[in-house]
Amino acid sequence: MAAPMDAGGVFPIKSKQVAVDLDGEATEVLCCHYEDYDFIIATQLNKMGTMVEVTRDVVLQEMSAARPSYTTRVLLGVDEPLTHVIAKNLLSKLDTTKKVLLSFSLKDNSPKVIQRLSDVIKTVVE
Amino acid sequence: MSSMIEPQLKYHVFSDKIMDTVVNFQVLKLKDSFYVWMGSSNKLGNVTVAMPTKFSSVPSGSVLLGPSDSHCLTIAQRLAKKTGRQVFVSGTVDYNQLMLPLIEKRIGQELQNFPEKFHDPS
Repeated sequence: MAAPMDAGGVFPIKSKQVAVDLDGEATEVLCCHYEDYDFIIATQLNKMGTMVEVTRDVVLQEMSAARPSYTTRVLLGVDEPLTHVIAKNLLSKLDTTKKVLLSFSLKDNSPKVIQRLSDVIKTVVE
Repeated sequence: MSSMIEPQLKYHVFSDKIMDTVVNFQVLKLKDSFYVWMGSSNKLGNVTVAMPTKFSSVPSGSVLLGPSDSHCLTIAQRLAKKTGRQVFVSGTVDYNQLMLPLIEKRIGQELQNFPEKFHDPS
């Protein structure tokens, strides 16, 4: 397959795309690095699904040993506590201070899948 | 570790010079919908969504992120009407009366020339 992501080699928005098999489900992860946001799509349905804006909170230096904390805002989809939990967990492995627009649509919301998916997201974003 | 497989999501980019400004475009083909980003800067800017409904000839739309007086929304609504899909449009362009129609025309052109990069025929 041609690699459309480096079309012309000069396209200013860097992007990376991978697909993995998670418990028998084909899972697509795509990340586009914009100047102000990282846009991450993680999907098992090939749809946009739930969109969440995730902002990392600014914490004091002496607090930084603690886990990073995030503010999540649901832009599209069901705004229930589980959505916020999944969004925070999917990005828990990342170490970025940039804002993230996360879009996910999963058939399986089990903790095991979320954990493994967060590892995949880390490899795609970094 | 999870086994890698071949990605299925079709991601397409193109650039064009519109009124002496280079405008970049991204198209991501999704199931029953597609995502378009356009911009002369590298910012995500607005994110809008529109989809046709049976209740009105004008597709229903909403601004998800960014200023609510978005020009992206009108483009999203027109693309939704043209394709009958749910359409996500985002981007930042220095909007002016002359450039906006040209940008929209350029997307329309690409949609006409490469419809398979936007959606599967239904």
